[in-house]
Amino acid sequence: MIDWELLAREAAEFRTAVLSFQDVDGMPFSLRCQARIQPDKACIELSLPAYIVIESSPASLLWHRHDERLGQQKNFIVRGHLHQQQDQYIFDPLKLIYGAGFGGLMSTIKAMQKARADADAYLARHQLERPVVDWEAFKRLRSENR
Amino acid sequence: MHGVRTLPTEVEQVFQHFLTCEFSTLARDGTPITWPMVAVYRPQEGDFLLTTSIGFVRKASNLRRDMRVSMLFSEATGSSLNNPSAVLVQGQASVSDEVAVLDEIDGLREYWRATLGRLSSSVQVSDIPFIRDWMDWYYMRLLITVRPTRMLWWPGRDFGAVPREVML
Repeated sequence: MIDWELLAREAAEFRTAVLSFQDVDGMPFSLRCQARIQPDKACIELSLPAYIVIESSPASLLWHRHDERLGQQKNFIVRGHLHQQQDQYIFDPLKLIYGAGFGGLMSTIKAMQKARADADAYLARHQLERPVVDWEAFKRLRSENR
Repeated sequence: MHGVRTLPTEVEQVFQHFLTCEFSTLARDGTPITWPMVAVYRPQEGDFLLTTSIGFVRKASNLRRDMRVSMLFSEATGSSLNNPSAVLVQGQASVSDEVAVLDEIDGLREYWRATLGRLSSSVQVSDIPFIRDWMDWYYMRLLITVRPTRMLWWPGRDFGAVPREVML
């Protein structure tokens, strides 16, 4: 279920989105395009250049940004399906997935807790000992970049 | 693309200076799932190095099932380039079995050197003992190596124009 009001509000912060689909060879293919959210039609209309020839494909749209030092990240994607309709392309969204920059501090802490639990599970599943991070080595590496 | 290859200057500049690429893996149903990631171009090896934390293993799971990937370099913020191109790299990826922290696997040190050099100080956690111990999983990494099979580029990031192709 797509929250169209929320999607329209968030997407309005970006000039373009990154559309990804499978090309005729079955490879992922991405390009930037303008995505027009159409709540009344429950779809997203896309302006694609004429050299893009694709009848239909599972697809996703990514909106993202970061600042000059990779901070202030904000990103989210919508999974869906792309198809051609007359002279334009239509994206039918199925699922909105939030990335960085959403939900505030508590939401971030919850996401980090889940990632830590997933990492623990990965180590257990692969019968691996927990690696020890050499923080001093990281500090030295950082200082090399200053 | 194997080993050293001469790329158009506009393309090489993008690989060297863009902070992120939009990296796509294929989900089980064939949907390309695309997220921004740091990719380190390694001209000597003719490939790209990316990593993912074992706390976010979905990408690695996708890659172990289907090695087809793409990387679009289209977000120029922080690159300091004037009117740069956009580049799409399609290729095949492999994922390491080992979990590496800093430099236990060839290439990871150079990945962190590049990444830490790009990050703003506000997102460094390694100086704060309580937080860094809680976040150690973030630094436990699987290495993703992408070997390009096709490369397209759009001068001036003009996606309305037919892209040029780099012969590999």
